[in-house]
Amino acid sequence: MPFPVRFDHVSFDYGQKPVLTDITCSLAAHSVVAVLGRSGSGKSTLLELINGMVMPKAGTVYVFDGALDYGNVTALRRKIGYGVQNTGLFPHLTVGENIGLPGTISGMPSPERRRRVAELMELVQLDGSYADKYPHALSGGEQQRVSLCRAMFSNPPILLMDEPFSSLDYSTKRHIYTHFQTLQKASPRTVVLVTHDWEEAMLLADAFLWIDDAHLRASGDRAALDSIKDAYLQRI
Amino acid sequence: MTRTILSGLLCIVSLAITAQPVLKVGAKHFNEGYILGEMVALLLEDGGYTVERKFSLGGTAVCFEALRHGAIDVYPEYTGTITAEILQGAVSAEYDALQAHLARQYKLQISRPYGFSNTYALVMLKDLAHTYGIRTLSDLRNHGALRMGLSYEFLKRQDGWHALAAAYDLNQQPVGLEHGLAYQALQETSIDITDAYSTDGEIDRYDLVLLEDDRSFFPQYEAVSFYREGLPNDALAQLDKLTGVLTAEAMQALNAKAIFDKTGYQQIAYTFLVEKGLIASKSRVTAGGGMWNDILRHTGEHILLTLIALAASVAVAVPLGVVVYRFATLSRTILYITGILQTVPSIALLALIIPVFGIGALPAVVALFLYALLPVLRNTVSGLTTVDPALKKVALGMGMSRWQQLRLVEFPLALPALLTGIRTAAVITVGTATLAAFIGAGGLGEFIVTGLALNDSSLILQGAIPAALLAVVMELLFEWLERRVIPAHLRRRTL
Repeated sequence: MPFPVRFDHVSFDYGQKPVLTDITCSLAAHSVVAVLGRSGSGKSTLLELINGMVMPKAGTVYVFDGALDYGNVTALRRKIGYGVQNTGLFPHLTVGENIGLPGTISGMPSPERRRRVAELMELVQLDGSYADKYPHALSGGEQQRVSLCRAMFSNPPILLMDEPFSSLDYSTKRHIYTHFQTLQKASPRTVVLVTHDWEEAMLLADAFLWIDDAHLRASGDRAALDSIKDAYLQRI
Repeated sequence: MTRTILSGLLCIVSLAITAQPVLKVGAKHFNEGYILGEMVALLLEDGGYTVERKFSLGGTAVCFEALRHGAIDVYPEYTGTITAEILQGAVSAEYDALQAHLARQYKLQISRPYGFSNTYALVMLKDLAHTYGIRTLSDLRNHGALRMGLSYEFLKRQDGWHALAAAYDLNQQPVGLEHGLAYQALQETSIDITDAYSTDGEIDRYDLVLLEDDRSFFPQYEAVSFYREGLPNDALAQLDKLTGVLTAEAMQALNAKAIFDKTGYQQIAYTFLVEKGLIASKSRVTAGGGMWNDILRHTGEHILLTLIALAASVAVAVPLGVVVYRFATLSRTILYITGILQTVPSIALLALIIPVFGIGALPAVVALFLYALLPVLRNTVSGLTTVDPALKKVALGMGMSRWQQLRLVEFPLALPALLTGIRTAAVITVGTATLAAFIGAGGLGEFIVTGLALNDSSLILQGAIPAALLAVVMELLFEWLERRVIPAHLRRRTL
């Protein structure tokens, strides 16, 4: 399965307003793909097309082995990690419960779940005592690490992240990037990273897609990303 | 051991053999209603019947519906009330015609009159009447500035204020007030005129004058026993003993005893009946269990009514709230309906419920349940809809099933709002449950209703203070519960 995510002439719109038009592309396994574009360009929708939260108006989305089955998206979503802007942590659950939630919903026994939580927290250097705290007691950077842990919990072959780091300050970001890279190196997966930040893409991504005014304007590897820098920054 | 069991069994068997059917006696919630109801009850008990007293019933409509549906067997009523209020003037107040109509139309009966007519009358202070030279109702026409404070029942009745004002061409603008408070208002001159029953004990003691009904507007209000067809003959014979024994003056004196001497209704009725030789003096007068016992008993009933109604409304409103939340099209309709329920005045809702559920604890619980629905439902729905959409998206994107989204995310996050709703409902229910006394469900309202009828503020407080304390306890209980189930950073700030 060299390309676990493929778009084949996919379009989506909200009535009159086109959001994505005729997108065709393939996302390689074990690589971090940055989806670039300014806000409102349709890049978040591209992400939601992958886990079936949005259905294309035309074209086909292929995830894993076949065309996406919209009648059974729940099972699919459990094999895809999902993280959003501002961490998306549940305030009523402790850090440990938040990280272990993907295990809870798929019925993983609790000792096994706790082991996995501890393992992930160690990987991103979170103190074990944090497991019983509520997210609001943690700093922004710590919360982001918790969010990363949760997205990685089921060791999903695909990880979707929508502007996960955008609300963090610069030094915290640098710190998180390191954790992200550590996790990715430990068990490589297909990461779709939606971001407007060219530098972030340059630092973390192996490949990129540039969505501009609903169209796929450019795509390619890191070298290609470097070459579009000026054009991209002008559009932002 | 065997002997005790045996004698116990014998006791039960002999009770079963001698036991007559239980008769349910109702009474309207005012002084005279209680005394007459008690007379009927004592006479039936003297005749060997077991009597269940359903006193404090809230007005004619409640009593009549209760009688019609067998929730009570007999209660004292007035012929004028039956013709004007129940039959809406379809039949004249003439005794034979009335009796025939009731039997034909409703299978109900009236006894022969007790001997006095308790008609409506307008009363004012003697001095004031003298100053203005007012003697008759017609005289009021020239005194439009006089302040009238009328009972709610009189204001609303078919044969009440509006008909009276039309017949006499009166133009005063009356305000409504509870009858039990009207005499005090007269004394304090905060009103000039009120409606009264012509046998009220206060008339003589407060130096009041009855204004003469010079156009014979008010119908005759002969006191009778109003009962269901099919009562046993010896029960009817007992009721018949009241025929012609009560004059208006006698009734005024009995009423005055209750109001001014604070003699218990049962004692008043008992003494009168014994003096007249209508019941044997050995008949038991149940001594009240003392104030604290009464308070404890009524508080217990009150708590039970409140908790059952509250539990039922939570059991219905929370799942309903989830359904409403899930199916947005339904939400308007359901919230609208429960909203309407909330606006029905509580005493009206109670009266509407009687034809279906009779009187007693069941209809009271049903009414309280309906009132508690809205706050719980509304807070459930608003709690669920105000959950951060970003979090809902995460729950969905993670692969949670609908049920998991609800159980793991939406419901826990809506819990603070939900608890606030239940808390509101609990306090409303504690307060509204005081009205349950009007339909014979007991509770702390018993004190308040009786206290209002007697104009006895200490009795009112016996009901009002525990009710207020209960409301406070409810608040504290829910505060404690919130602390237990909701993490500090998610708790709502409540006043």
